[in-house]
Amino acid sequence: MHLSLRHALRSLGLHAKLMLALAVLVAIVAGSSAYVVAEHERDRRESALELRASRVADLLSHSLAQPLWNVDRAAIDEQLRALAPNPELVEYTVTATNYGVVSTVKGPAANEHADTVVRARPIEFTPPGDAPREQIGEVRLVYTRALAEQAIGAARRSILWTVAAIVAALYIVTFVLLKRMVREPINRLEEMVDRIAGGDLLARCVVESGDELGRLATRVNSMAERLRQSTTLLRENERKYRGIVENALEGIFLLERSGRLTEANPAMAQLLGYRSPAALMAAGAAASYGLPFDAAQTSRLFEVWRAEGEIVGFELRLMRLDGVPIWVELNARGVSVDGSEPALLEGLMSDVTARKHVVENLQQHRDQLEREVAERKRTEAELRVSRERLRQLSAHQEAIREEERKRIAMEIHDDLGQLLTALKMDVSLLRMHLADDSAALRKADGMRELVEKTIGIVRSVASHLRPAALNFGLASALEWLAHDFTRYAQIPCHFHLEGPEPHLPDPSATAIFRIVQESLTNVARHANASRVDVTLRNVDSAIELTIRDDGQGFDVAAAREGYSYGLLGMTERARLIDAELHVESAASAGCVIRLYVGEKTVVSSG
Amino acid sequence: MDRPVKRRAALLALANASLLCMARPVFASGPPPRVVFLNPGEAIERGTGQQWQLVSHFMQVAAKTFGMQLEVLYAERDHLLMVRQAREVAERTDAPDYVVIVNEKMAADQMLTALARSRAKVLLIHNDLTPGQRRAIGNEREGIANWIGTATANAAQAGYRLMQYLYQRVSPAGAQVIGITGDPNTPVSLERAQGVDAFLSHEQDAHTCQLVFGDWSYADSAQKARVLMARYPHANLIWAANDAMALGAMSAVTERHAHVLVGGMGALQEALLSIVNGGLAAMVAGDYFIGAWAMVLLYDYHQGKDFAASGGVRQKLDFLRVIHRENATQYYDAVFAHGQSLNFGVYSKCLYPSPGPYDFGLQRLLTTVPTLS
Repeated sequence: MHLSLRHALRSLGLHAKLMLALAVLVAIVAGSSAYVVAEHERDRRESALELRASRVADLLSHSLAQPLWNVDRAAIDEQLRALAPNPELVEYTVTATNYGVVSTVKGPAANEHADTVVRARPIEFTPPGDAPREQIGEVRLVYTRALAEQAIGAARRSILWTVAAIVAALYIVTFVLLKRMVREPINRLEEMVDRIAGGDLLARCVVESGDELGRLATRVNSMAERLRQSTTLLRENERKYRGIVENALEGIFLLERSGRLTEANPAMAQLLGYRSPAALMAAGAAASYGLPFDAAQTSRLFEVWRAEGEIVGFELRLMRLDGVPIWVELNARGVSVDGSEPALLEGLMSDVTARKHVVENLQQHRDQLEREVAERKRTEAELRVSRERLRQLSAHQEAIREEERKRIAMEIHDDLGQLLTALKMDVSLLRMHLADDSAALRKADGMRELVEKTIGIVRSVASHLRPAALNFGLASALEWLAHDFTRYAQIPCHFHLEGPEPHLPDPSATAIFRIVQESLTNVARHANASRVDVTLRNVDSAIELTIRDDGQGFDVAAAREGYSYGLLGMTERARLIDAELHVESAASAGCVIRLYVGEKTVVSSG
Repeated sequence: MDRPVKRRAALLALANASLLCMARPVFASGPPPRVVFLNPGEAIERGTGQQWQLVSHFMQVAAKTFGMQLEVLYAERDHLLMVRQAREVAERTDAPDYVVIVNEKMAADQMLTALARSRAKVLLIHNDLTPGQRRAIGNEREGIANWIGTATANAAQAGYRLMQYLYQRVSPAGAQVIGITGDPNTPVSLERAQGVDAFLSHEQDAHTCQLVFGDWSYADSAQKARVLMARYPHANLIWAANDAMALGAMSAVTERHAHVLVGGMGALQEALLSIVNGGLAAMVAGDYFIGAWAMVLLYDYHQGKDFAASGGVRQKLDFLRVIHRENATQYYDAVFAHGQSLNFGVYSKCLYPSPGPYDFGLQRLLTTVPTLS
């Protein structure tokens, strides 16, 4: 019952629902209003009746005083009769004290047996003179409530009829208005929407008003317009994509799990040697869907799809109609009909037979190349070993050369120096034996000068072979070198030592010294500098050497390409002591040469 | 003015008397005087008693005695009708010589005014004009010249005598009195009550419980008596202003078996029978003779013996007497059994000249009745 009521409510139209709601609302409001009004009317009438009864009783109690005092029954009767036509009156009774009923007047309602209102009032009279007021009787009136009840009933009926009439009128007016303003426009709207839904996209709703329905009609129209546009676009797109599919060079297909092809484009048919997609699908059907993919291939494809979620670049070997095998590359994805397991694979397929052959060729070439590369790597390794040996040899030779230089310098310095010194002393002694201003003396002086020059040359040669200062440490050697450079090149050269003096093995110190020496030579030759700074920083077990000039600079890359042997030699010396050499320069920007001597070299010196 | 009139009247009376004595009851010369009585009562008794019929009756007897012509118009207790009748009489071309009217329900001034146009002489009887009415229209023979006089019973004296008798009856218990008088607009109602009060005021042990006004009817009086007896259980005397009311009160007393004496004014047959039968205690009798007395006065006046000379134009006549069980039978016989033979001529100063005011003592009348004499 409840369900059927709900069903009935649901199946009602909007108009009927609105009217039902209105009817319920109005019935509730009107019913409660009518009830309140009726109750109020009832109370009012009842209290009016009682008030009337009380007033009449009071009135009679006063007006009957004189007649009853005088026992004027006629006057009493007359008064009572004057009030008797009241249709509510059951009876008036006047009683005299100690006597009883003096007068009774029955009213029109004398035979009513309904509920009554009874009022009794004493009749009092003040006799002439100074006698006290005394009660001489009583008036009692009985009013029936029947008329009031009837009037209440009538009032209630009239209220009910009025309310019913108002409700009915309201209902009818609302019904008509709703029908005019809501239901009919909605019906028209519905009809148009049905037409639009039925495919008539040129159908348009008439916008009849500016209210919600009008706005709805406008929106439906704009929706229909957009639908029309999008449908047109869709058709255009479909045509386009159909064209693309039809004209695609790749085979496009839809494959069922059973192996049946549900869609195929001409390219697909052509790929497999068929005249048309229909012929391909007919052939597949004829082969119990073993064509173009055999059962194993089909299940493999679905497995791959299930495992990876997509099929990308999957290669398959297929057989054309004419029996020629071809290789195809296949990209596909699952098409789920109801959101669960895919029932279809939607794929693209292209003939990669030629590419396959090319790849095979490339594979062969690559294998050959790999073999050649291996050979080359082996050779390179050998070369590297050889070079290392060469480097070691070079280092060794350098060491020998330095040692040799050192020995020669010592020999020149010690032996030749001693000899020359002896010679000089001899000349000096000889001079002492010669007369002044003699030719011999002048000769001896000349000889002494020659000896001294020679001593200078010997010292210079020795120093150049190996500076003696190097024997007192790198810092002393470099300080000497700077001083020497300043003296000879006439370019101020300053040496700075930062940190403690480093202790380096002799080959390393010598190599560093030689690098500085080569750098200064380059400065003197090419830089046209006005100042050179040599800085040796000894920090944290590493040494950084900087040679900075403010000369004209040069293009480092060009200098390296031009096989500058000076640079080459410096680099080589640095490599031999596991140091790094950086040259930074540019035209008109001076030159900075940095040498980093690593921890290993420095530590090994200890 | 008065002196020549009186003298002439005296002369005329003497002449008439001599004529009457010779040729009674025929007038010496001219047609008999015509009198119209505007009777406020009912032509046929309908509950307010026979009072006014009896008045007419004894007027007729008197008219017969004096050879006068009497026309009675009944107003049926309708004073408006009575006024219309007065107007009708006033407009008669053949106007009567005299019109007798009653100040019933204060209508006499209207009737007098109406009749002022007439040639007829007007005599007011039974109820006098109230002082207010007199202030409005004047006194006899003044503003209204054809209003020749007024004849009323001394009602106060009647009340006095009744109460005097009743008081004696209840002595020495003292009197607790309930009075039921007529309507307050009729002066006689008040006068009778005043007489009662006048007596009671002299007595220490007498007291008026209440005086009520009635409509002269039996039923009303009975009702009143019932209620008042309930209201005043100790009352032992009731007086009523006429027969019907007295009988009504008597019926109420009888109903209640109360020990209450009832007296009244009027003394019609029924009341007299009640007295005889031990009902009513007493009645003041004689009111219904007022018409007859009017006829006496008019007769004398017509004969030239103006009553103004004997008691004035306003005749306050003290003729009422108390009828009780002892004299009731005699009175009944005289007035009712042999009423036709009552001789009112004895009261005429023309026929029986005497000095002083008129003496309408009933004993004179009753003694004229053969059975009583």
